[in-house]
Amino acid sequence: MSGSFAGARVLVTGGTRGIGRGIAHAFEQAGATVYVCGRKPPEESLGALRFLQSDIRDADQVTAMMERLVSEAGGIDVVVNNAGGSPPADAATASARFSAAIIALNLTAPLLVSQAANAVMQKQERGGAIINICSVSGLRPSPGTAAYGAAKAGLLNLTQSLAVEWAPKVRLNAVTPGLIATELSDMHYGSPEAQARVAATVPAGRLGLPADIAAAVLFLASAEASYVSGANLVVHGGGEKPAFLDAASS
Amino acid sequence: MARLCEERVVIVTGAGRGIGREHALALAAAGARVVVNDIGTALNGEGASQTPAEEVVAEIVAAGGQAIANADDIADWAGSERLVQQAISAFGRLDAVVNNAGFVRDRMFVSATEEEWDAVVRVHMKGHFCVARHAAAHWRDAAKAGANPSGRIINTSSGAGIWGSVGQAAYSAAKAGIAALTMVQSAELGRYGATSNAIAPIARTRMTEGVFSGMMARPEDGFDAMHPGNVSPLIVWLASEASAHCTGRIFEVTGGRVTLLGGMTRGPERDIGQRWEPADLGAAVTELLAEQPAQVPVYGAK
Repeated sequence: MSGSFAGARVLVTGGTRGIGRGIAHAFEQAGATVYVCGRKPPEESLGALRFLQSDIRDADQVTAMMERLVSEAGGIDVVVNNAGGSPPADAATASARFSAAIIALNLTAPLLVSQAANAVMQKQERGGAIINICSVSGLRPSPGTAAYGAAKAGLLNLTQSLAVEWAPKVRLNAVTPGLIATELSDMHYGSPEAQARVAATVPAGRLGLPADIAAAVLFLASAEASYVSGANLVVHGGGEKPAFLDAASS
Repeated sequence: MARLCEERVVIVTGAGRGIGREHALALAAAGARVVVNDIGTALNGEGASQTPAEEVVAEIVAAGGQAIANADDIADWAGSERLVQQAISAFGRLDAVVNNAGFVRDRMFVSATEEEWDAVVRVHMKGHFCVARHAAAHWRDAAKAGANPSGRIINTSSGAGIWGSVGQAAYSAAKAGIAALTMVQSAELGRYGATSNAIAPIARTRMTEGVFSGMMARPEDGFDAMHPGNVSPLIVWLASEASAHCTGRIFEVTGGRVTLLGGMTRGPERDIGQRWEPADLGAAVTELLAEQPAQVPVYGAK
C-alpha cells in the first residue's frame, strides 16, 4: 500500500471511536497497518483496522497485547496513547475508587503502554515514535473533571521525562486537543444548541474534529518531525478567550 | 451464573446469513467472543461483500455482545490462516471453530461441469480442512506450552452427504467427505484437548427456501420448526467446555429434534473364507440386500 506511512505499524489505544478513530483512519489512509485496542469490539465496522482486545489499565493485558501485535506485525513503529476521558464528577464528593480509576486510565495506562512499546522500539533499527493525547484540561483549571485534568497534566510532564530517558531511539511528544466534536459531545457540551454556543466561544468559530487532531499526530509521527521530541502541539483553534474580556465589555 | 460460552473465542464461517448468522448470534448471547467470517457471496458463490459480516457484528454488539468481522476466503490456505491469526490477535485465544460456510451449484450429475464441481468441493471440503487445520496447530502449540486448551471443531455435513441428494452430486460428495474428516479429527486431536463433531441441519435459509419451499415455510401458528435459529443451541453446547466427552459424532438437528447419525456399523455380511467366484456373488448380494434394513431415500429421488 502506498502513502507516507506505507509499511508502518501503528497502535492507537481507544482507537475504536472518537478522536482515536479519526487518528486510526488517518494513518490507514496514509498506508499504515493500524491496530486499535479497546476493552470491547465496537459496533461500527472496523474496516481495515485490526482490533486487539485489552484493558490497558492492567499491566499483564498490556504486555500480552503488545506480544500479540508484535507476533503478527513483526514490530511497532508508532504508538498513540489516545484512550482516556472522564465523566463529570464533583471533586468534593468523588469516591476514592472513581478518582483512582480516572488516573489509572488517563495517566498510568499511557505509561504502561509506552513501556511495552519502548521495549520493542529500542531493539528496532529505526526506533519509534510515541504520541500522547493530552488535553487543554491539563493546562488550565478543569473544574468538574479535576482528577482528569490532573492526570492529563501529569501525562504532559511524563511525555517530557520519557522523551529524555528514551532518546535517541524513541521520540515522545504530546498533542493537546481543545474542544473536539465526538460521540461524547452531548455529555460534555450539552444539547446541539449548547454545543453551538460553545463553538462560538472558540476563536476558530467551531469545535475541533478528530481529523484536526489526526493531522497533528501524523506530523509528529513522521520523518519531518525527527528533531521534535518532548514537545506539545496544541490544537485548540486559538483556545479560550479570557472570560473577563466579555464580562468587562458587556 | 456464568453463561455457557462465557469469554470463549469462536470463529463462525459463513456467518453473514442463514444458519451461520444464527450460530454467531446464539454464541454471542451465550457469552462468546465471535469472529464473524463471511466473504458475502451470492448463493452460488459468486461476488463478494463485507457488509453481511459487518451487519452481524453490529447486531451482536448492539445487543451487548462481542464480535469482530473477517472477510477472508476460508478455502484459501493463507486466508484461513489469517482468519485464525486474527482471532488470536484480537482476543488472545481461540476455543472453537464452527465450519458453516459453503454454497451450492446444483446440476444433474450427467450435466455437471468441471468448474461447478471444483468450486463446490473446494468451498466445502477444503474450507473445512483449512480453518480447522490452522486452529489445530494453535491448540497443539498451546497444549505443548501447558495451556490446557479445550478446542472444539464443529463441522457442517448434511443429510445430502449421508444419504445423497439428487442434483447435488458435488455438494453431497463434499458433505460426505466432511463427515469422514470429522471422524479423523476426533481420533487424532483428542491428545491436544480438542473434539470434533458434525451437524446435518435442516432449516429454512437461502439455500433451501427455493427448492424445498413447501417443507421449509413458516407455519401460520405454532412452533416454526424450520427457523434456522433452532439449529444453533446444539452448536452453542458443542462449542462450550461442557461438551468435552462428545467427539466424532454426527447430529441431524432441526426444529426441536436432535438425532444421532452415523455410528457406522457393519450390516449383513457373508464370509466364505476363500476367494469368491464372481458368479456366486450375485445370489449372495441379493440375499444381503433383502436382509439390510430399509435405507433413508436419497433426497429428491422418485
